[in-house]
Amino acid sequence: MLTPEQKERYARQILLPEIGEEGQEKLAQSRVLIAGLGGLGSLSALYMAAAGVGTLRVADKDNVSLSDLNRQLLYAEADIGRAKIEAAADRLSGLNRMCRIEAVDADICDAAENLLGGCHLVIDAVDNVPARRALNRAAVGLGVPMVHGGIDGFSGTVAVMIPGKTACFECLFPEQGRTRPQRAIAALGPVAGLTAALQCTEALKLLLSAGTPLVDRMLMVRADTGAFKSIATRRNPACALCAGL
Amino acid sequence: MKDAIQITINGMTETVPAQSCIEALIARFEEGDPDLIVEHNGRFVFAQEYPTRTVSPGDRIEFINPNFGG
Repeated sequence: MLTPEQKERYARQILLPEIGEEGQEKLAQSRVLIAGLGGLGSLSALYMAAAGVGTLRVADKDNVSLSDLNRQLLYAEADIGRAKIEAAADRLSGLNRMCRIEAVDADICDAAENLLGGCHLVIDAVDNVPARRALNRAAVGLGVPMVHGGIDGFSGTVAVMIPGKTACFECLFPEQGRTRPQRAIAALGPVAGLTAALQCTEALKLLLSAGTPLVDRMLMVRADTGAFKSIATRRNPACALCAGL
Repeated sequence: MKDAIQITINGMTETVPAQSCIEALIARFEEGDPDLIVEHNGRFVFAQEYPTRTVSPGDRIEFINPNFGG
């Protein structure tokens, strides 16, 4: 049962027939992992807390640096040098004290399975392929839906990955024993915002069983040309991870 | 070029040998990303299909570098 304060706070989204008070209660009972608190994760955390997700588990191991502030709008100059999870917990609690924040100082590669335990959904907001693989392995193993997102300069990608039903990360990007060359990836704030907003929209749709999820498609945005495109995907029958599901 | 066909690659019309497979096109156009996304007529192509999937006249191929930053 929503309190009068919750009804007022979420009034504009409760107006949506796909949400209503029942949907808002569903969100309040949900636990979502935001893996990574960089460009994608910091904005996703704000959107999910503002939307009324009951519990947000946020995980990162880095501290806030000056070069984060062009896109990681969760943080302020006063946060430079602080652990991202601490700064995030303060800001998110300030935004919505009804949202329970579980801040975890963790390397996603090492802790993916523990991080996903008890979560209804994970937002993949990490910034490297090994962490994405670890997250995907844990999501497939635990049967947790994952909303994948990635950015590079003016480009962003979003895809919903539901274990056993849609392609997983490994289906599309199989481990081939090759290491990607290390390079600093360009990141523009609004492109991170756009991509994170799409991820959060998909996450909320999944939690609410609303609309048509972005499954069997990889949505790509090219902000330099103002174009969106989607590529049809499917499960990979040769996937080393999920073919047997 | 004998038995050549025209296809569209990344929006440009290109002439390639008939029955070219995706693997040959990746080499021909020097695509080097280990996690390259290949789209063939709007559909994602799995890496294990690269040696066997061939193109036909008028096909559309897109080579897309993945976005793995966060």
